[in-house]
Amino acid sequence: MGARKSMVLRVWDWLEGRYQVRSMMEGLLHVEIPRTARTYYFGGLTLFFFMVQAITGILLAIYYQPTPEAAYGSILFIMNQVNFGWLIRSIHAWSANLMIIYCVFHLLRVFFQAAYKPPRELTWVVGVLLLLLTLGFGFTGYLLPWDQRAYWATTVGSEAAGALPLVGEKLLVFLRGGTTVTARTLSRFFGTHVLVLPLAFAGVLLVHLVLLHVQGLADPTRKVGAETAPETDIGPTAKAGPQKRGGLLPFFPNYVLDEFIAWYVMLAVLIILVSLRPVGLAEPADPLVTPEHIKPEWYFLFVYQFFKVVPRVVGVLVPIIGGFLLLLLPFLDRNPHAEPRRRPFAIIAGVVTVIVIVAFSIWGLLS
Amino acid sequence: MSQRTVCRLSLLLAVLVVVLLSPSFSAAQETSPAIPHPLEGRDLCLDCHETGVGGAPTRPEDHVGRTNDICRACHQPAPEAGAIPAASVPLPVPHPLERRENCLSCHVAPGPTAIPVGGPPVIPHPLIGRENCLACHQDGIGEAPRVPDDHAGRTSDICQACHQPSQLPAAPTPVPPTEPLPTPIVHPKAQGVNTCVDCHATLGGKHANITVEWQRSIHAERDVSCADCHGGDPSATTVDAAMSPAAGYIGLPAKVDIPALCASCHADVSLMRQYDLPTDQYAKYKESIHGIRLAAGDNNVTTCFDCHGGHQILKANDPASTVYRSNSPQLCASCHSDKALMAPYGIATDQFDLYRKSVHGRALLDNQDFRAPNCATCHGTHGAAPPGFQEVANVCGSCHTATQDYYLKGPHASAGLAGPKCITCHGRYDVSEPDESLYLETEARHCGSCHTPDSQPGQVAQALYDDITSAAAAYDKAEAAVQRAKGLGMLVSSQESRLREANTEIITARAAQHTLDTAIVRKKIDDATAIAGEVETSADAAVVESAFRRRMMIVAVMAIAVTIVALLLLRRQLDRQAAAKS
Repeated sequence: MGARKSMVLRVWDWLEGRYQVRSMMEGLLHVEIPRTARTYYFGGLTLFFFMVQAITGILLAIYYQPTPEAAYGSILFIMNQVNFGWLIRSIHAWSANLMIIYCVFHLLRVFFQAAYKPPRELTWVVGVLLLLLTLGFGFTGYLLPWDQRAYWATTVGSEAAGALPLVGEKLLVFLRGGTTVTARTLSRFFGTHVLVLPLAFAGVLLVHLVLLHVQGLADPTRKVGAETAPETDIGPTAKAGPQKRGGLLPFFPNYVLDEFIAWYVMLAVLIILVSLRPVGLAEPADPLVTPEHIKPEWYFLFVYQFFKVVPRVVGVLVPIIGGFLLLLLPFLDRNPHAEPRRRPFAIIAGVVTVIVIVAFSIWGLLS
Repeated sequence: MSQRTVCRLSLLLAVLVVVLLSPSFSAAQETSPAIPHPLEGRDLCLDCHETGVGGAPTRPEDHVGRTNDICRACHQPAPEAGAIPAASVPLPVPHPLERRENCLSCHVAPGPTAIPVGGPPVIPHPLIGRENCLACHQDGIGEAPRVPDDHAGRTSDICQACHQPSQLPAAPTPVPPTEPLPTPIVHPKAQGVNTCVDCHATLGGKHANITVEWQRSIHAERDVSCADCHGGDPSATTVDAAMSPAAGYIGLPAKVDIPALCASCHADVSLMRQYDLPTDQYAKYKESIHGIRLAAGDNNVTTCFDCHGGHQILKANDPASTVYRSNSPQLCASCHSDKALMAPYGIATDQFDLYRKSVHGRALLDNQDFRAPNCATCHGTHGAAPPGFQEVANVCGSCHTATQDYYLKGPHASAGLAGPKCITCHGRYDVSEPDESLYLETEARHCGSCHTPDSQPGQVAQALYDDITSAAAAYDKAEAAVQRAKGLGMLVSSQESRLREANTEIITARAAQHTLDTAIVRKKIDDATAIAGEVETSADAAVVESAFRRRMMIVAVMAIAVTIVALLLLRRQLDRQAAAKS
């Protein structure tokens, strides 16, 4: 035991002698966060689910075959023949849903705590990009089992792109690789799902984390403004006065430990979900048989329902405009206050938006 | 005993034998009457002498058990038999007696009915939709021959007792001289104006309504305007000019002229090609009972107008159209359920009510399952009772092809007209969901209504019932096991796929039972049962696997819980250290 420990220490010393690992790790970990910050670990859990997705996705990619002839069979093979294949695929599918849920929770937390306000505008913008990439993961991954549900949900989902004025038709063909969902659609969705999106997500996530590290967590009790921000914003470079020290919590090990506990809880939730409700598979995709009720995944239901009740152009333009408004929120919201009671318009708008989206989703589910 | 005495006794015995035998000999001579009629074509003596048909002397009771081939051992043709005038001797019944037990239903006039040379004329046309023979033959509608005067008093239900459908390929029908197609109404053309609509729209009431109806129609969409059906000048600005006979104005077309009016466009191949529409509706209509009756001056029958509408004519595949697949039963019923309208024709009026409750009606009208037939599927659309449907089995078989194939191989089909058809067991309009009770029960449409349980056919029915119900039970058991596994979230698509194979075997067996060959059915039943057993085993294994996964889940969650507790303790320690520092 002692020999092994010394070996670890020797490796550590070897690295330290060349790369100053200690100082680097201290720079990364030995930061402090305000005790008043309430993250609920939403962002960290989203990161956890992303890592789960990466690991299980790589394992699935080993067996998955991205052609219409083989895709469905390869999924069946994974579920029935591969050791723990059912577990890996079920975790991948459940984790995907939980990742989107926690991504949205994280966004709502940041919105209602006004953490997007200066100086963290870009962190918000990058975070919204991460949400869009996550939805992209969901959309492209949903087709891969190549069953009826996947095929027709993708057909309907991509059809929405065709409603865009001017570029709709070209965008539809670009998305599908043709006028209908075919083998070309499957191969480009697969390529996007396992190459383009992971690389893009990793890059944007790195920027998100660097910005977070540089600026630290926002204190929801702070006052936003150039004159007050330096006093309350906490980060490795923050110059907090001694009187504020009691309001700080070490990121490592205290906060990291809390994060780990949250991750373990969600790991248990994942295991319970996949054991009780392993992911199923519908009939093999059949382009000639349209199912009676085609609905997208739950996170696109509100767009789907909205699309049904308004003209096509409106149905596709409103979500796009909504996305841009969300992306540019920090630059549109000029209210300098962070406390909810000082920004009633934003809070009411946020609550109404959430209620409308939930209502449309339920409507879409029941319709 | 001397030799002389022996001779005397022998002579006495011989005389005694002759005396004793002579009465019986003479009696035999008396009870073997000569055959008083020619024998040609009358080889089967018992056909007449069994029952005494036509006044033939019946077989004496002491002749019971004797067969046709020994009659002439005693009864010899009378020497003068060939000379007896045929008319003075009752003719043998020249046809089978089945379904003809009541001679007087045909032979209403005294004396035998003269039978044309070669027998009664065969029915040269299909019978589907033409069950009411007198509807045409009473008055000689179309080219139908009129019922002869000596057939007076006979009803439609006995015609087939003598007149059989032609079993041979129908003789080529003489090709009628080509009839020129009707030509459209000649009227002045108007480019981009329709003063008919302009004027009628201002008149209000039904005048305005017809303009609105027309504007919604496919005709308006295709630029077929008022003048194309009514004539007149659609560019004229005065009523007199617009509705001038010189401009081809005909006003309201007479009912008898409507088919030809529509056909002036719809029978024109070159005109209809662009719309991908058929052009044989007019020809079919003229051959249909509707068309035939219309031509005979019967204005009660339907024409194009009655089914498709007048002004608001919609495409047949428009769900709002009266002739849309699921709307057409109601459309047919609008006339055929009208008792007053149907009374003169002696046609039943309950077809729609029966159809509405049938498996076909419920599938089409309730479930919008367009695979289900409507009236037109069996009767045809424009040409009611389309040619080529020799019997109802063919009509049903146009959809139920496999069942028809099996049926044609079975003894029911071999029995010809006397055998049961599809409708005998399943009904005609009120086709119900068939189930295995058909094999056992004794009410109408069930096997037991014709066959007793202890008869050979009755035993076949019982065997079919046993086989099919046992396979269905095995299938149900397997399906329940699959559902159990599915309910636990297990992926059972392969088991479901195999289960469908088992179901296919059972469905095929249900079709194959129309052969009444238990060996064929049992083969399919055995296959279905084997697959169902295999699926049940596999599904049960999935249930066991699910239980194992859940046990493992509990182990994993407990391990995680222990880790979490350890981390919480570590955190508590950190908090204490921090508190101690401060």
